[in-house]
Amino acid sequence: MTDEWNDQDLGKAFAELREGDAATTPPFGPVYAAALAAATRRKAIAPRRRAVSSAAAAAVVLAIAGAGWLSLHSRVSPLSPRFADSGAPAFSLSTWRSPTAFLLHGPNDMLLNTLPTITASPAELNVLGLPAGPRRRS
Amino acid sequence: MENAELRLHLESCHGQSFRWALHCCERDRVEAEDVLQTAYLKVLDGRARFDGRSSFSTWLSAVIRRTAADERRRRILHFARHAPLHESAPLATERAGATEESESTERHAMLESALAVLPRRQREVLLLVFYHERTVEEAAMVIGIGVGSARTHYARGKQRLRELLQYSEIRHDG
Repeated sequence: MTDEWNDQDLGKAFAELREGDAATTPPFGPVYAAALAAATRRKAIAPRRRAVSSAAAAAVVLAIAGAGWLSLHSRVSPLSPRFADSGAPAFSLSTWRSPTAFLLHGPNDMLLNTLPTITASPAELNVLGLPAGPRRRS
Repeated sequence: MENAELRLHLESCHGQSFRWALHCCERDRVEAEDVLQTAYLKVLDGRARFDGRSSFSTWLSAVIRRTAADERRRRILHFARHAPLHESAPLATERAGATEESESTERHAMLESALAVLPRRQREVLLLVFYHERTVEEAAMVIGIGVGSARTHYARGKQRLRELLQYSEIRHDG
């Protein structure tokens, strides 16, 4: 070999290595036969595997669809025509009261809902300089 | 491709395929035979389909390389899960082709030792080009990298291999 190991030297070294390995190559027949037998076995069980996978996928899809359908139809809306048939009490918008309406009532409801009145006599109002009643147009 | 045609192609590439499998398996002959058989199985049961974008032997080399990598990963995972820590086994359980001491055997050993030191990509490109007599473009297709990357690995790997061989010669002569 030269000191520089040019491409020709490398090629020659690799060629020698290749020749040495060529003698140890196993025969093609047994390797191919073993692979072919394994391939045949895989092909035989492939249809069963596909059927099992398809059945499992279909079961999952059906389960999800069924759960979704049950969730959608488990509660009947009061606005639905089927609500009356379900045995629940009839709904009337005019008589409906909010269950939390009591929270809006307080101790000062009378003050808010009535007009205040003055109980003084007309003479007293005259002393105070306040009109005793509505002015009459002359 | 029909089975009969596949058989003909596989048989014509068998020797080269086994030698490539040997390199992909770090010269472990038993593993190389298993990898080669698994690669043939993938071809026969249709998991690996030849699409005609390269030569059949180039495509088959890529299948063998991927199969060897899968087997290597599977073995690593298996040992990581099950094997206790122990001393690692020798790398080459059966070195193919070396039966007696000779100058040729020493050169082979020197070359193999130098190749073993190289990074994997550089080693693969050099083996594909020099040992399996492929072009750099074909080597790129087998490895699954761009042609530019393959050329870079080839140039750097060749330079590094030369340095290692010269160093080995100096050590041997000295």
